[in-house]
Amino acid sequence: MSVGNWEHVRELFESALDVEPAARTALLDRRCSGDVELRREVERLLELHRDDEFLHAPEASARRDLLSAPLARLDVGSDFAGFEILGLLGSGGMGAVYEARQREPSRRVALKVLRDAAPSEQAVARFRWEAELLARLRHPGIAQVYAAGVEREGGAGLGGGVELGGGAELGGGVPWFALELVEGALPITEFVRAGGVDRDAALALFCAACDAVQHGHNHGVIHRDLKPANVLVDDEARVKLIDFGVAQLANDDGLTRLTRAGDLVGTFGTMSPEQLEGASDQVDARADVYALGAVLHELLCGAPLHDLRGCSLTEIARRVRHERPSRPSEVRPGVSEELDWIVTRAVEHDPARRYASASELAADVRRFRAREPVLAGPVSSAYLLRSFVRRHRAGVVATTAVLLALLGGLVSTTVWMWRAEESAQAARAQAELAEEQRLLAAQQSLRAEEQRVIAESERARAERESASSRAVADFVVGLIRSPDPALDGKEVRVVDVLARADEQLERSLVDQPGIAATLHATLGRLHYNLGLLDEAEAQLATALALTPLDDAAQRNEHLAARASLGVVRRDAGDLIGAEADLLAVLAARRTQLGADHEDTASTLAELAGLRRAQGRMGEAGELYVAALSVLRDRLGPDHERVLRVEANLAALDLARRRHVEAAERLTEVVPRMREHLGRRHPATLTALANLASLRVFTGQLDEGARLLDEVMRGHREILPAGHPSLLADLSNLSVLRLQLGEFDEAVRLCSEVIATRSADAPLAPDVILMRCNLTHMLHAAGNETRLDQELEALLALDLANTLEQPGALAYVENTSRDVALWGRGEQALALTQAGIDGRARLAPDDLEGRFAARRAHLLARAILGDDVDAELDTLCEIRAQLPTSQHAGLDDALLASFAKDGLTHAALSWRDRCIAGE
Amino acid sequence: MPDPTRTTRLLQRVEAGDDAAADELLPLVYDELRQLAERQMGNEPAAHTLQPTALVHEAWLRMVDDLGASPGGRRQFFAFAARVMRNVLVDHARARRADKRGGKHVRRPLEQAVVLYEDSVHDLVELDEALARLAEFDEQLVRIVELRFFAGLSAREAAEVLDVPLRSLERGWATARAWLRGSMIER
Repeated sequence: MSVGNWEHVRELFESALDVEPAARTALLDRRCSGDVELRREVERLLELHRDDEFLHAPEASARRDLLSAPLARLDVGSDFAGFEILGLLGSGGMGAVYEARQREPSRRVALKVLRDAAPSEQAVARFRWEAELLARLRHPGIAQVYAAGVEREGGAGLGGGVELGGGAELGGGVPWFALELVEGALPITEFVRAGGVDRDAALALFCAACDAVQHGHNHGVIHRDLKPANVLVDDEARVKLIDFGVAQLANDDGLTRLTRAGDLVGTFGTMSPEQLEGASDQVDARADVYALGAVLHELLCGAPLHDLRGCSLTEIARRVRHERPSRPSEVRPGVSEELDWIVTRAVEHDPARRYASASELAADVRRFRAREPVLAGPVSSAYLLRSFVRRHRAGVVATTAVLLALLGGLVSTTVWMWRAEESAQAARAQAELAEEQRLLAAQQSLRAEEQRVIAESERARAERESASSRAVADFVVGLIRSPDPALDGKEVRVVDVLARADEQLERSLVDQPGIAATLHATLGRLHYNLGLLDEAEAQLATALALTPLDDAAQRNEHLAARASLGVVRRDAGDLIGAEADLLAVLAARRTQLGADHEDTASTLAELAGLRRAQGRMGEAGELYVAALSVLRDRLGPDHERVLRVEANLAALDLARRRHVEAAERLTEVVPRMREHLGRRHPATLTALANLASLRVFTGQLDEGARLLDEVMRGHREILPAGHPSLLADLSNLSVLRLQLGEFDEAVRLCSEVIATRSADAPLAPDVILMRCNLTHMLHAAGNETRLDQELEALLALDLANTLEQPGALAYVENTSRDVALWGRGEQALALTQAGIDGRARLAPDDLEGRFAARRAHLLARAILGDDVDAELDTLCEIRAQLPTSQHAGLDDALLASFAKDGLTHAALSWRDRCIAGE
Repeated sequence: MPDPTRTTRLLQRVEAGDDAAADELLPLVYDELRQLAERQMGNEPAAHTLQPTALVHEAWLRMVDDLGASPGGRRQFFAFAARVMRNVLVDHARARRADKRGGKHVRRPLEQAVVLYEDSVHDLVELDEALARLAEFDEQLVRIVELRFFAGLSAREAAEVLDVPLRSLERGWATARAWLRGSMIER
């Protein structure tokens, strides 16, 4: 085809496509005006233009192919697996559904015949097991599975009435199920729409559906494909769930079906993000909770959770995973906010944030129906107040004060622990602790690596009698040995030395790939221990490149380097790369060393760490356990590797909130870590700190304090004074002592932190926090004199002019309220003034900050008994400038504050001024 | 992805029209995708032959998310990933051809995917060659084919990536198909 006049050809061809075929000749006559070549080429393209399979991307074409492929259509009157076919009820991507008569026992059933899936032996076994599970589901709200099986091709040879696949043979076959036939029923959404069912009755139906789902869950079956079309309601308003667990039975969930089902939207509109991601191991009962939430959404407002019309697979996946679904009230404004909350809670992206079960979801819907406060949504005083008013419209004013007083008990004190999730500086401290631990680990690994390097060079010498290689290795060992982090304490020097070593390597070892590889791997591990992940990865990659796998002598070196690379990538967040590395190493070690070798087991343990990072907690646990059993056998119960894996397993339990298991394991392993790794080993201290937090969590404050004290002492020995980890220990311990009523000790610890930190950062947020905490401790200790001094010291800090982070002012603002309660009016107001001035100077445009500062001022004055009408007006003005979406949250918090201190007048006045007008 | 920041930087340069950056980026993304594709496709039993392409899409989404690319960068990335997909598949198809010629039958991880793609175009290598000819005078059509066929994007998505109206994308797609069909028949 000539291309000289392509632009004209393309333009005319595309214009011709826009007109009816019959009109094309006329168009060409007019536009070609004698240009024969142009005309010929356009006509040729028109001939070639066809709407067929050509260049269709596989999904699309495969989908069409599957749908149009005749799936062994069963004729009416024919016999299949002991059923007489009465008629076709419907067909889809998964298979076809027939009305059929079972001979024994004689009854009509819905017979679902799947496409030939050529199931493997394993698949058939699983199918049989699952079918038995399904058949045990007996609930009026669940269409029962009567029988299931795998029919061999041709449908011949199997005895009739085979229950639960008893006659299934291995090899190719057609899986089928006989289900209870539900007649004359409609999908719940259509039933509600067509029957003019009111909202309350619709919610009752929904609750019945939840109960049925819960029954399935109680029997260990997840529906996996809940959608309006599977939640039927018959003409007597009875709910029947169909296809319970069938998706699982058909091994058909997640992405597999993306390419199979014709109706993408119908199926995916209610599918949870974890199912869409194909993370089938993470799919549990909460996927059904999500789907129920989606059904409820549609029931309430008539629209699906996500509008997926016309979306491709890619778009569906992206939307469901990343976009906030619409709230029912956004589609239909009359829907009350409690129902919005319930739906929102049910369809949270993170399963952990959803209702834990279908029955919890149903319970909340029932609470709504009974006009009781629902659990979903912000459980706030303002909401409780509104809910209370809703139920008891009469006499509400008289009881408001009582309610507010009751709420007082719900609000915690203004004393904080240092926790990673609670304060930025604590997070930093954690990071620094991690770095510090790497540094300590580096000291140890430096020595271990020395041994490795020496051993390697010995081996090299024995093999090659090469004096030069020995010399080079000596040199590098010398380089590595030169700094001693224990003495120097500065990782920078270690890094510098490593860089020097690397230069040396580049220059002198080019022709000695074996040794160069060992040293690059060594450098990689050292960088890893120092937290320099990029450099570690580069070094290890170099080592890998230098050690071909086919060289038997270098194979171990290669695998060791690749295992390290996997660990580096894992910790650098490259989970995909890490997985490739670790799986490859695991496979190779299994082959070469056997599954029972300690190195194979160690790889398993690293893989477990990866699984944990991937959120695949269950698998991580299994891997740790498997690794542990081998390591114990090979190395004995008290080897460092064994102890570390045990500690990791406990940390995993902690992360999975299996507190009892975590506590048991830590209780057992910590003493052995103390004994065999040493009391001040970083791994021992981390395990101890985990155990301490568990004890605090379960209310065993004494024991928590005792353990934390040990951690603190350990850190005191190995860390310099003023190290963030040590300060975190001291601060947390001080709060624990306060809670235990050991006020003097609390004051002592807290003072130590302040004294240490004030030397170099007197205005750091954590210092402000500790100073605020200290005032509480002094008040609790009844030491009024020192309290007075500390407050003056706090006020003398010139917070407004020197503090860098306005966030730290929140500590001061919170404390001001308590200071007012202690009857120290002048100091309280001086503190709130410092907050107001500080916010104005540090972040003049931060309206929320201004609101917080003014709020603190108002609270302090109200507590002191001042008239606060002017302050309420000021606050209301600031509120008006903030986005409406924030109002409810601000109101809730404010009302809670008023409630806490019994400021009924202020609460009512705020409602009248600000909330009532909306 | 070995170094997300590097990739992001390269993507930004690609977005700014720096072709050299594209050349640098290609091998990075290529390896990533190839590994992903091979791992995912290699592990699946036969019944799941249709899963791979879907998973590759997932992989792209994930990469884009990881990169936190701007909307512009995101478009650029998809255009780019489509090219990668073309290279990956055509390379495999070519290797398969060589195996056959050598009398070997090596089961390659991407074999299933290649077979699937060749359902709707009988030879990927020939298509690749035809696309190279098309590129000589209409680069845009090549991009459309990469997005629609190799990457499996919908017309709407492809239009978004190329920043053209849906209508003109659909027209271009029809033209590309007709021309390629003719070009492959002629050979």
